[in-house]
Amino acid sequence: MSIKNSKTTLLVVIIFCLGLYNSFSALGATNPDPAGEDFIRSLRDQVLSTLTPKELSEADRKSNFEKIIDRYFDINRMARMSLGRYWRKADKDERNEFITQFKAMVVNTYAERFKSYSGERLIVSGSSKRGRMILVNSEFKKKGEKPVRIDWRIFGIKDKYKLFDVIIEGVSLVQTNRSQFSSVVRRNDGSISALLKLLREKNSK
Amino acid sequence: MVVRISKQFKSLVVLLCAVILFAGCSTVPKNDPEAAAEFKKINDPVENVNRVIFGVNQAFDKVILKPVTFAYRSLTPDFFRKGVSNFLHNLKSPVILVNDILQGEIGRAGDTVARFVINSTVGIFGLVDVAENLGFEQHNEDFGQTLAVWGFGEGPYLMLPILGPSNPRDAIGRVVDFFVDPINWWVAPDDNRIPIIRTAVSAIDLRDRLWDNLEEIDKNSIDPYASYRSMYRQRRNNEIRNGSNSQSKADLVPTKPTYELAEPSLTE
Repeated sequence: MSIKNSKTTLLVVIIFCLGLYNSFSALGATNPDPAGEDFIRSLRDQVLSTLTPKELSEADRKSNFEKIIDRYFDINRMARMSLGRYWRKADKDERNEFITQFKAMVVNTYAERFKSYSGERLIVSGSSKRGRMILVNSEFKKKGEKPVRIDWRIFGIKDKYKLFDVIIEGVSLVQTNRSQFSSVVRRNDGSISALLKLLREKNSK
Repeated sequence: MVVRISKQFKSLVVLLCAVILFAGCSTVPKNDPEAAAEFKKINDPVENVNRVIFGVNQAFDKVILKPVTFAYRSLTPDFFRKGVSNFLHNLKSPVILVNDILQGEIGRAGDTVARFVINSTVGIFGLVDVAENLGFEQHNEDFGQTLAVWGFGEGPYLMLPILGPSNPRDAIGRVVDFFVDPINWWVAPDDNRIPIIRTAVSAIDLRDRLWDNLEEIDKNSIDPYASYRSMYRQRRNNEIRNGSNSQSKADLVPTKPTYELAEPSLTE
């Protein structure tokens, strides 16, 4: 009898501790930023209305995507982060050309994705803020499939918000690009023009 | 069967070691601390060998795996492939359960048991994921992740023949998972065919699920090898953290979270 009792007590203590641990870790994580969440909702609505219609021509879809980038993305920061340490080694012309090619790459890669839109939903689920950096969490839901976690990294000063990274199930766009860009530069003996040449070829296809 | 497999595995390991030794390692850049730091961070000392194996794997994909998967995609309806996928995942339940427990994830262990019981019965041998709709979410665990939670680092990046991106920690994890799996030692201990068929079908299922992503990388990446290397690491770190941004499990894991809120550094 007493053995059974002590077992029950132990179980209760364990469950209590688990609950306590969970609430503490939840407390530590949150400094939400509703404005950042609204920023992502606004981006989502803009994408829905200007990029997903089926009747759009490829050129229109791309030009609409460029408008979205200009309004919502900090493409310079994205380019700079994607080039990593080689950004400092690039001269002014190379930097400008890289930003142009990087933007074209993003447009070419992602614009046509929106063509196949079929009622998926993006649900903003939370955010946290540290200094000027904001992380907005969301779930991309397709009917009958497991939701995909998408996190958005925003740089925000006052009411000016700009997106600079998208992280899908833990895979960051900027980090993945940084790996391939720096790998190309490294394998061409530190030549940034080799990278630019490759990007130009890819984008003109 | 077990003996035969381990023999095959041994010869594979010996072969790999030989190849790596003969090909030699890339050298650490001298006279440039920034380049040396980058080299250390990329942690791919056998990159030259890895790239050769990557090329062979790409060819294997192009000639065999992709066409077979294409046929599979064209000939079967979505619900059929979904069923196959669910069935294969349900088969992994014992291995997932063992790793849930080894990582001290009691809640997840409970989910795994509930999922296995519900899906194997109501879900018709695991073909239908009924448990997901009842709130028992699907998740993956493997011994590579368990080792990470226990504090083992990933070690240098490795491209395995056919199996693809890996590292010593995850490669060891695969072997341990194989021997832990009751299907290999209990259900069919004397039958080689079952694990072989299962592996082949799993490969086609995985290729099918990754289809769109791989198409996109093929089409848009200017260095697919480097893209895959980065994505593999980020995905694994995400799985090890069980998808949380930086909390709980990450504190136990020696690897840095893939991304943080702070201003990112400019090196890889």
